[in-house]
Amino acid sequence: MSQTNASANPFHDPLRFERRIPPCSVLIFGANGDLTMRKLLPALYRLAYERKLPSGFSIVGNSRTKMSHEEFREKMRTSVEKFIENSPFDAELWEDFAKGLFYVSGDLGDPQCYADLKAQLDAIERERGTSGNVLFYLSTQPSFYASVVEHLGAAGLASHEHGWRRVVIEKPFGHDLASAQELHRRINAVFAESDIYRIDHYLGKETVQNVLAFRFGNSIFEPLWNRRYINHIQVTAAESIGVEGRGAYYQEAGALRDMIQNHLLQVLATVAMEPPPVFEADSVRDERAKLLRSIRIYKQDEVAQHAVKGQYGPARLGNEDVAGFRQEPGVKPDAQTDTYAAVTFFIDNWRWAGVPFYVRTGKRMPKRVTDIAIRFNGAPLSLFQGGGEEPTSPLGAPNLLILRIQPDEGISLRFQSKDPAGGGMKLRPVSMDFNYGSSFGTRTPSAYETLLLDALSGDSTLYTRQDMVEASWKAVEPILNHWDNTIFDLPNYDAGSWGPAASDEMLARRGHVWRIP
Amino acid sequence: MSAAVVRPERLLKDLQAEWVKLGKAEAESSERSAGVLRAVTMTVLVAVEAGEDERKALESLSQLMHEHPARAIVLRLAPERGEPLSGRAYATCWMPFGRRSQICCEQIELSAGAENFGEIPRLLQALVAPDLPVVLWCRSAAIFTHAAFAAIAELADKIILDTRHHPDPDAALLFVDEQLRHGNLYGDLTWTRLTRWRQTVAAAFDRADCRSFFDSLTSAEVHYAHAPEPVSARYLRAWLQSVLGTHFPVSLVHTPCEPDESWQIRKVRFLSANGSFDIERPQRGSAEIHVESFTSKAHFEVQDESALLREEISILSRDPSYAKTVRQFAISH
Repeated sequence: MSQTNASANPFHDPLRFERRIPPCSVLIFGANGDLTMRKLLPALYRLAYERKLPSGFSIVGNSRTKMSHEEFREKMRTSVEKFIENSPFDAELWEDFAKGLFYVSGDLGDPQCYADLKAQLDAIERERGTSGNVLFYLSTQPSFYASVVEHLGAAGLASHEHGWRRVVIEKPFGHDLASAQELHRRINAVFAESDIYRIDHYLGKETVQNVLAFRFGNSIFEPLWNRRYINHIQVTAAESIGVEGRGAYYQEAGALRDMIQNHLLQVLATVAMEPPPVFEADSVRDERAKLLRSIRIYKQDEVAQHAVKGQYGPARLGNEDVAGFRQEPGVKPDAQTDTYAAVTFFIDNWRWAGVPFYVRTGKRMPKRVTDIAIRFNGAPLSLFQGGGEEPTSPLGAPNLLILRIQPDEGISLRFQSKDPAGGGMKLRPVSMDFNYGSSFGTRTPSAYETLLLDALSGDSTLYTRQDMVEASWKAVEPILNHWDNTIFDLPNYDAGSWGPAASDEMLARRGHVWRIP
Repeated sequence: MSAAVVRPERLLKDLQAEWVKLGKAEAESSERSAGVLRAVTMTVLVAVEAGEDERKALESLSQLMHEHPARAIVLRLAPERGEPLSGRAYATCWMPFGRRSQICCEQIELSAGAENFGEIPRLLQALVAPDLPVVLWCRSAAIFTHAAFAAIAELADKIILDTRHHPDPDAALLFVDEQLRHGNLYGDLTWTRLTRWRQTVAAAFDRADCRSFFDSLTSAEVHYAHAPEPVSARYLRAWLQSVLGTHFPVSLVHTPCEPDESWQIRKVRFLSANGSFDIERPQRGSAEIHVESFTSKAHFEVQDESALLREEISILSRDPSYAKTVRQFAISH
């Protein structure tokens, strides 16, 4: 019989079997934290439930809290039962899954902690057949990222004779361009760029991935996907909640840093990038990076024209009084934080020259919605204007393509149709809808399930590369600098509204209006 | 008995009327109604015999619709040989959790006795949803051997059988082998039921300690529970031989179990000069890999018919593993 290795197992049937993950372990730093309990463990358990994880798969948790393996297992069981979404909890399966859970307490600054972790990983490799493959997941405070990675390097944990070693880091990747570069310099001294997985959970969303399928799996839209046919694009990510106890963190970050610099610029890049030659990690990321580098960088005196900062104030919503941002616990009474940010981006390349990309995000907006609206130019000649009782303006009702990211995931195309009522040539916009829920009744994997599976199988397509991080910081840094050096009259929008008036004015200068999602 | 003439236009008109009725009823039922969503992603032709077979098939079909909304055309073989052709159209609807609009799928039923069943293929030409894939799920062995089968199958992009229900599964598989070699797409739910087994075998060989067995494997055993030799065990043997070599020794071992333990394949054992390792299914819902002192357990979910159909429907292209296995089955027959 022929030889085999992890990547050439002739029993695999890629058409029917789930993607193969080689035997491996995940080491989570910050295993006692919220992210681990709410997202990571439920996602990993669900992957085990779906038989997507390899035999012998193990998880090692680390934090400062003293805990036995058994206590850690019990704690993780409680959080999986509580936070698993759209999925049953199978007690019997948990018993087996839990056998692969281990815990090593220790201080991230103490070399002994890494020696203990190494001993645990070695034991797992011997006893559970994981072949030395380890994914390190940094679910700690960002200020620890670089030092943890340096300790991993010093303890000999960053490489292995036979297996792979990868590291996943959560955003923020720095708080500006210089800090992002410094963070990278330190991490890259230990791990090669190809082994660094910068997670942006937005890219793991099924509907964001579907943007690529929609654009490059169909031939009818791509010819229209340029400045000749598209008038402008609006990206909205609205949240109805406030800062929910994260006031202290949020007042240092703000909406531009927290959402636009990473998630929304990645979404924008997905919508606007050129087709990659092949659907492989670096080809896709090359195109995203190229697009991000094409974003026009504003001079300081251009920022006010192209960016709007907002902060919500108190309001009465229905029969409830809602606090303003400055009244939230942990927030300074004179905080200048942006809880709303809207930016007009221009992409200076041949495809998009002159097309505004309006991107907005905010907290305490009327509803939770994320979508991308592509507004096409009106018909060149309004044949039917004045033909009916109600003139149809190409500006008022042009073709509109909506890519709905969440909730109610799907795609709608609005176009004009003759209204049969009343006679005459009266047009009315109608909508052609594709709805994920009705066309695919299958359970949609959570973004963390998708991204963890990708990292375990070595697919970095949906992870952010350093050049993308730097290009995004370059695009927003002039805005951040301008905002940092200006005192704004805040709050400037009521909780429960669609943001400050200045944001509407920014669009009105080009004859556009924000759509109401 | 004089039968009403069955015209495709009439059935399609009935469907149209059904949509109007549903839309109105929904609008009248609630001011907050978001209407009815008509969903069609393919045509599924379901060939069934009246009675229990039909009941089970419709149950699976209704579950399948939630994930693959389709125009379903039920081809019902009536118990009386001379029963004339009849047809009706209707819609099945459901309200997905947390949504405001009902999703509805179209269903058409064409029924005839064996003598008149041959009138059906002609009608189908007008009834399949345009520009979408057509899948024929032939649940009935009697329809598979009926003269009309070939004409119905010709309309379909993929034909799905379940050979464990066939009186002569070997003959059915030899037929499938011939069809696959002609480039037609066939699937078999008896094979689909083995996906979990095959996946578990593949996962075992991903382990470093099992990989070391690979080069020195000498034989394998497939243990089954209930005689006579089930077609699933022979499928599994053919698959192992298609991977390990046509003449690789794989024996089928009868390991009797309690009659209420209905699952057939109990264990696959790999033997080599250095030892052996087992993949066992001790309970209906779990599998265990035993390698020396290490045991790993995996969830082995029981796939109902709709889940098996979903898997087959998701493959509307050539399936090389299946084709190789069926070829091996035919060679060693």
